[in-house]
Amino acid sequence: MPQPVISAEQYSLLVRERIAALRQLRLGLIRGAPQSAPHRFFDSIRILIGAIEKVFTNRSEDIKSQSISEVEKDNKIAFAARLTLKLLNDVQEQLFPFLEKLGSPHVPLAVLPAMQRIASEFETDVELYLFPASEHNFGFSGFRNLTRTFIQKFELIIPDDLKAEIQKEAEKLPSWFVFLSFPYVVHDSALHLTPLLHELGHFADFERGIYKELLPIDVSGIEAADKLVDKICQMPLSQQGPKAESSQEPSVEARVGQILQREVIAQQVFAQCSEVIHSWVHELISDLFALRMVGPAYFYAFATFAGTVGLEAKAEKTHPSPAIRIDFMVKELKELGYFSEDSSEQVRSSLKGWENWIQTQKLEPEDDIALVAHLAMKENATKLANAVRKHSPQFSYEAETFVAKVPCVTADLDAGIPPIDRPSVHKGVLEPCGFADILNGAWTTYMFSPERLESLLDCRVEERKLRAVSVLNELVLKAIEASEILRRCQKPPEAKA
Amino acid sequence: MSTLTRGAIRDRLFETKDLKIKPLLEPESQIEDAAVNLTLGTRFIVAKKSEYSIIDPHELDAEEVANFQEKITLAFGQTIVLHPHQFALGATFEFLKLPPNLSAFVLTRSSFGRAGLQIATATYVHPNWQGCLTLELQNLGEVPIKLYCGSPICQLVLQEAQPPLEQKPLKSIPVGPAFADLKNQSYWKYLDNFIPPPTHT
Repeated sequence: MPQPVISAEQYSLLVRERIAALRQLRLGLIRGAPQSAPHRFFDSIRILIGAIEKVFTNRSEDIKSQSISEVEKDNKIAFAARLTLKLLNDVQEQLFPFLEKLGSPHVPLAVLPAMQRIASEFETDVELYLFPASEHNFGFSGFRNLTRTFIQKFELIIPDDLKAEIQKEAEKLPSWFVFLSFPYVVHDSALHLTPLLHELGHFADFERGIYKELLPIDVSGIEAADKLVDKICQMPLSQQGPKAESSQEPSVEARVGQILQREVIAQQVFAQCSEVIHSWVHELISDLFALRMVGPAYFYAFATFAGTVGLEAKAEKTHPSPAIRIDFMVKELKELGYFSEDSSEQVRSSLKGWENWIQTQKLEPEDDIALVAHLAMKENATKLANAVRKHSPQFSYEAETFVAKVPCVTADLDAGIPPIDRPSVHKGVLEPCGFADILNGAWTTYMFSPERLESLLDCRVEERKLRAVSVLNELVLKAIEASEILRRCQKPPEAKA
Repeated sequence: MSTLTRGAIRDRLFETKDLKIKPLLEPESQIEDAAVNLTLGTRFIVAKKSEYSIIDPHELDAEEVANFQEKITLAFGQTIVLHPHQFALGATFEFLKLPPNLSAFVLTRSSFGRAGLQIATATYVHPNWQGCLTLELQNLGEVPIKLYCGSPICQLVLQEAQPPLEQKPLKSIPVGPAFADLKNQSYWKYLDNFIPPPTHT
């Protein structure tokens, strides 16, 4: 057996260097981090690096004590070191970027407690963080059992006592670390931060396994999928490459179906369709979750966000088109009673406008795979909506609730007052306004009656609309922050514990 | 001009509802005999001393002054340490809206005052004002003071204002500390005539 080019000793030193460097980096980030930085996540990285170090040291000592040749020992240690370095690289690549961004002064701390409370409805042991991203998009990343997930690559070589020791340390950490990102430019806009609830929907989806009620979806019964397989079978083999146009011979081109069996092609096509369906199911579940949680506020937030990137955008592998998503949402809002005569007239009329808009849209994607995914979603629409309803019974923001609770929120906003509390049924007691009520009041004011707030402000006419939106966002952020604190203060002490 | 006492304050807050103080986290303890305790909010402005030259109200508008300031946002319950003689702008956690016939004074609560804290130098609040009050926090003591967001550091003394004032359009509705625009003020119209031109050597 040849001696490794980089000696085991050098490899071991590289591991120790890397561990020391990551520790230094972590400490540096902690020193520069604000109080609001995610200290438990910093802890998790300390524990994780410590666990990786213990595993490597233990493994090296174990190899050294084995009755094998020195060359074999060196090779084994070098191999363990390379695995360890790979793991440390993963920690650096996957976790450190969060540490840098989470300490940003642009984290909207005002909305964090409310989001954390909602996440806790699904899993009490969750730590939620918000961070700004330079891409103009929202995102979700989650780590369940962070230490175990990273260490399990070493599962087979970790002795039980060390495993127990690492596990004991890991128990100090929450079960979930959830990171939700938002575009930098909306960091101080309560209105345009609303799509974060869709990302929270992803957490609910993964935690509860809502998607498992739908996936996998068998596409073999979908006619469009069969047609796509036929289409590929009929494709000339040369289609992918340049055609031999100069050839004088009349060519009889071979077809894909002549080379590959139909079943093989079907398998590949169905796999590609399933991949797209998989992503779409997660997206639609999260949309419906957010919609059930805050009703029209999420719908307007989504439509506005989609409007900035193009309402007519085509479906992608990762996301259904805005039109498909809006179609799903309008149907769910109908289910929640927003089209009934007793619902808010403004909301009803605007939703009818959106329903008409959908009629003008070609929902069927042009792309063959997206078309299969679309048809699969259409076929499973009821099942999907039922699965979301089943797993989120505590969230059902019906039209009746909207009519009962939103007007007093908009009345406050119209008067330039943050809608923090409202009279409760008990005389002389004020109860906190709900998160969903505040967001709906905000969107109602923004969409339908901004002029009342505008009229309060003393500024140049041309600046008034923009100033009013800025004031509206500030009032809403204040209301979300303060109402959440009021809610916690009013909780009976035993419930707090 | 009479000071409002507990019953009258409660009446204005919960019966006539023309006075707004939101939220009242603990109304029973916050509404005292003749004042309402207000708590420290979560937003602050501190000076970036290393980048400061001088605040010249004649030269710098609020936007420019912001270049020399650091905005800090904390979570409720977190702390900010004020070192001896350090100055920072904070704001009340409570949002106020005074009716046309009430004005108010903001005072440091004596317990915090004795620890060296001063919360305001411009203490008068006009009728019809609405927003979170900016607090000019200063540690006049000899040792650092740790301030908790949410601690009741000041009190609002309410007084009748007669005759009631008409509501005018609002220049701003602050929900956090705000630095005043010292440059764009009407008094410069007459004061400018007396200010000598800058000398260049």
